[in-house]
Amino acid sequence: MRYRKTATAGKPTSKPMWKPAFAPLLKYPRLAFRSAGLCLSREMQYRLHFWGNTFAGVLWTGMYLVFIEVILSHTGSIAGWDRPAMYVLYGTYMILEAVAGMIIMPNMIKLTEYVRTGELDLLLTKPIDTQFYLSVRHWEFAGTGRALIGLTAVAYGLKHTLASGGGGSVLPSPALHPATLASPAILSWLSYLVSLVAAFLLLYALWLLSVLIIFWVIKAEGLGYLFVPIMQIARYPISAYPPLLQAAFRTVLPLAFVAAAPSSALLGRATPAGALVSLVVAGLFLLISRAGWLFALRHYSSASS
Amino acid sequence: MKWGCSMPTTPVITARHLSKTYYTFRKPEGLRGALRSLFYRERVAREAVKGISFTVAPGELVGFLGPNGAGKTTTLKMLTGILHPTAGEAYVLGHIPWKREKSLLKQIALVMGQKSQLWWDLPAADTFLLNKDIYELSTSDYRRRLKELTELFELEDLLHIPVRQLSLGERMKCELAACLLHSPTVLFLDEPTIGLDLVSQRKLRHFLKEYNARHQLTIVLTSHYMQDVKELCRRVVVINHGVIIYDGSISDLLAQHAGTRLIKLTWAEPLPDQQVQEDMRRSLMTLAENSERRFRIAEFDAWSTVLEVSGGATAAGRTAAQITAVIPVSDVQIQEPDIEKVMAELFSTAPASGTDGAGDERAGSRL
Amino acid sequence: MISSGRKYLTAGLLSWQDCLAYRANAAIWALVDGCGSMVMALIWLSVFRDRGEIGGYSLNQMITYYLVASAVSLLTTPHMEYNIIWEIRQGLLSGYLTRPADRYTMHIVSETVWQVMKFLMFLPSYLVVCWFLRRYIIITLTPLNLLFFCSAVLLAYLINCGMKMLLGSVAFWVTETRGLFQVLECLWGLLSGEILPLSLLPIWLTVIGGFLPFKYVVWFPTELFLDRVPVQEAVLGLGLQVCWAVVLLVVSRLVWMRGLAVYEGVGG
Repeated sequence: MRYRKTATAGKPTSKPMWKPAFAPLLKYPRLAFRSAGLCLSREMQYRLHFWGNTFAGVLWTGMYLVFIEVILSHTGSIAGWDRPAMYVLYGTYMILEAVAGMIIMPNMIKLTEYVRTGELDLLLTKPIDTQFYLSVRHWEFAGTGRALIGLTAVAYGLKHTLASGGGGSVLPSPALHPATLASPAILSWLSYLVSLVAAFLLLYALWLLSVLIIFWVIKAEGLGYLFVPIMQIARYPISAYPPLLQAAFRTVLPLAFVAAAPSSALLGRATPAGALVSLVVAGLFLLISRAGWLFALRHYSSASS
Repeated sequence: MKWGCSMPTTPVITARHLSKTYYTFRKPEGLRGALRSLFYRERVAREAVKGISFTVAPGELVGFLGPNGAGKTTTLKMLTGILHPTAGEAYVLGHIPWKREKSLLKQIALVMGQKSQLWWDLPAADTFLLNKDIYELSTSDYRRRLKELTELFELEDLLHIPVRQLSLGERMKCELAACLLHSPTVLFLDEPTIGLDLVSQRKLRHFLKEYNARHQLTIVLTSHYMQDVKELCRRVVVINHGVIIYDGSISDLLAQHAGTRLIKLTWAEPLPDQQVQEDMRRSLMTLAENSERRFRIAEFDAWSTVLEVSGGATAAGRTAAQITAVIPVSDVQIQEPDIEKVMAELFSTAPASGTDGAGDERAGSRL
Repeated sequence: MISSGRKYLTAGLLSWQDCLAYRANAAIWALVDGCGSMVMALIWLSVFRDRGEIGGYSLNQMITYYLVASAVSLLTTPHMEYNIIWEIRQGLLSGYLTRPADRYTMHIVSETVWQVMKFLMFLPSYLVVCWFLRRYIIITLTPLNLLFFCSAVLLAYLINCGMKMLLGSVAFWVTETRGLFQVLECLWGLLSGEILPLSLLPIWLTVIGGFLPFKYVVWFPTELFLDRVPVQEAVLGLGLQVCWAVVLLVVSRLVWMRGLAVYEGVGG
C-alpha cells in the first residue's frame, strides 16, 4: 500500500496544486444537495406518510384561511390590511412556513435528538463545521407543496390590489401601477425577494436559538417544536397586536421581519430600504445564534458525559 | 507490521495529567429542599478522569480496559476533541484535539458501538457518499478505498440494503467501513463489539486485525470485553476510578498478577458417596501441605476437581505429576487463569493513588 | 374490584413520577397546543376595536370564548394515539400484554396523568395572559352553569379518549398512520370550535359538524361557560355527550380487542 504511506505521515494531506482556493468551500453546498437528495429518496419509501402530510398541510392552510375570511367578512380588514393585502401576507407566510418546514424544522428537531442521545459526539469528529452540517442534514418535502398555494395567494392578492388601484387603507403603490411597470415594479419585486431571503435566515436563527436550550435541559423532546407556535404569530399583521407586543416583535423577537416586511415591500407599503433593514436584522440574529451555538457547544464539551 | 519494532518516532498520542471533572447539582429532596435550591444549589463534583498520562506510538494497538464508569470513554472523548479536559494536556498527531482543527479531524476516526453515523432508512452506500463529501475525497480515491474495504469486510451484499434491515453485526461492519473511507491514521473505537453475538465479535476483531496488518494504523480501543483487548492489543491500559492502575503488555499483566495456573483433574472413577469424597479431599490437602508448591482447592465434586497453583507452568506440571502418582485420574488439564478473573481482581483492589474511592466529592461551598 | 382499581391508581402515580421528570417537555407541549388560541384572541381584540358585536358575540364574549376554549381544548385532548402506534410498531405491546393490567385502561390512565401535568405547566403562562386580558373576561357562572360546565368538560374528555383510542387502534392494521392523524387533527381543530366559534363558520360546515362528535369537545363546554345555552338545550347537549362518549368508548374498546386478536395472531 504505497498510497497509504503518504497519508500516514502525520501531516495534513497536501492538496493538488490545480485546485482553486475556494474549492473547500464548495463542499458545503454539495453536501446540502446530497443530503436533500438522500432525504427525498428516504421520504419516498413512506408514500402514505408523504401524501398524508401533504394533504394535512394543505388542510391546515385552508383552515387558517377560513379564520381570516370569517374575520374579513365581518370587518373588511385586519389592522389596516384589507382582503387583498391579507392574502399577500398570508401567502408570504405560507411560503416561508413551507420552506422552514422543509429545511429548518427537521434539522432543529434532529438537533435536539442528537444532543439527547449523544449522537452529536460522532458529528463533532467530522472535519466540517458542525453547525452547518446539522443545519442541512435533514430535509422533509411533504409540506413543501404549500409554497405553491402561498404563491397563488400572493398572486391573487396582488391582482386584486392592482384591480382596486391600491384599495382600502393600503397606500396606492406607484411601483405596482400598471402604467409604470418598468423598473420600479422590478424594484419592489426585488426587495420582496431580498426580504424573503432575510426572513428565512431570521427564522433559522430564531429557531436555532430556541432549540439550544436542549444543551441544558436534556429531557425536553418536544423542544424542536417550541418555535412553531411562535412563528405562527407572524401569520397576522404585526400591527394587530397590543402595543407592548408590537414593540417586542420589532426588536427582541423580530417577527415583524418575517412575513409582514416582505409583504409590505411587495405592496409598496415600505421603501426598498426596508429590505436592507431586513437583511441587517437577519444578519444580526445570525451572529447572535452563532454565538449562542458556540456557547452551547462549549457547555456540551465541558459537561456531557 | 511487527509489534516490537518501535522506531524512535514521536508518539501519535500524548496525554499529560489529563483530568476531567463533571459538575452536577444535587437534586434537593422535598418541597423545602426545592425552595432552598432556588437560592443555593449544592454542586457535586465527580472526577471521571484524574490526571492520567500516557503515550501511544505509531502503529500501536492499545486497549483501554475498565469497568463501567471508570473513565475510559471520557478519556477517548477528550482525545477525539469532543470534550474539553478540566486540566492537563493532550496531543494527537501534534494537534490539540479539542481545538478540533479540520486537518486533525481528517486524520482520525471514531466508531462508537452504541451510536451510529449511518442513516437508518438508507443504504450504507449513501452514508459513504456523504462522507466522501465531508472528507473531501476525490472520486478516484473514494472508489479505490470503497473497493478495498468492500473486499476486506465482505460488504458487497450489504451496501445497497437500507441499514434498518441489517443485523447489528453487519451494521457494525458498515459503520467501521464508513469510518475508514478517508484512511484515518488514528482510529478510536469505543466499545465496538457491544451487543454483538460471539461470532460477529470474532469477525469484527478479525477484520480489524486484517486491516491493521495492511495499513499502519494506530488503534485506541475501549472495551469491557476482555476478549477484544486480549486478541487485538499487545498493550493494555487498565483504568479504574479515573486512574491508570496498569499500563503494559497483556502477558506481563497476566504473569505479574498470576503465575497462577489451574489444574483440572478428572477422577478415574466418579466418587460414589460423601464419605469417599471427604477422604479424597483430605488426602489432597495432605498432598498440598507436603508438596513444594502449596495449592488450593478451587472446585471439588464427584467427577473432578480444580486446583490453583502459583509459580507458573513448570510448577503446575510438577505438582500435577506429584498428584497423579498417588491419585488415579482419567484426565489432567493445566490452564492459564481467565483474564476476566484477573481483571475482576484488579478492579476490586483500591485505586493506586488517591484515597477517594467513590470518586465523589462535594464542593458545595466552592460555588 | 377494589384491588384492580388500586392497581391503576398505582400505575397512575408511577406515571406522575415519570411526568415530573419530563415537566419541561410538558411545558413545551402545553405552549405548542395553547399558543394558537391566545394569538387568535389578540387578533379579535384588534378587529373589534370599533364594533359592538360580531356574529352575535360581544368583544368580551369573544375574548372569553378563546381563553376558555384553549383551556378546555388543552385539558380534554389526550394524545395517546401516538403512544399506541409507538408501542405497536416497536413491538413493546407484547411485553405489556403479559402483565396483569389491561393495556387499554393503562393508556387512558397514564395519558390522563400526563394531561394534568401538561395543564399545570400551561397554567402560569395562561394566567399571565388572562391577567393582561382581565378587562375582557366575563364570568357569569351560576352554580347550575358551573355544574353543567364541569360535567361537559369531563364528558368531552371521555369522548376524546374514545376517539383517540379508536384512532390509535387503526395502527393494528395500518402501519403508516401519522398522515391520517394529521388530517384528523386539522378537522378536529376546525369542527371543535377551537379555531372559531362554530356559529361563525359557513353554514354547510356547521351542518356537517352537527353530525360529528367534535363540536361537543370544545364548543359546547365553552358556550356553557359563556352562559349562551338555554337550560333545555344544555341538558339535551349533555345527553348527547353521554351518548357519544358511550358509543365511542364501546366501539374503540371493540376495535381494540379486534386489533389485539390480529396482533397476537401475527405474533407481534
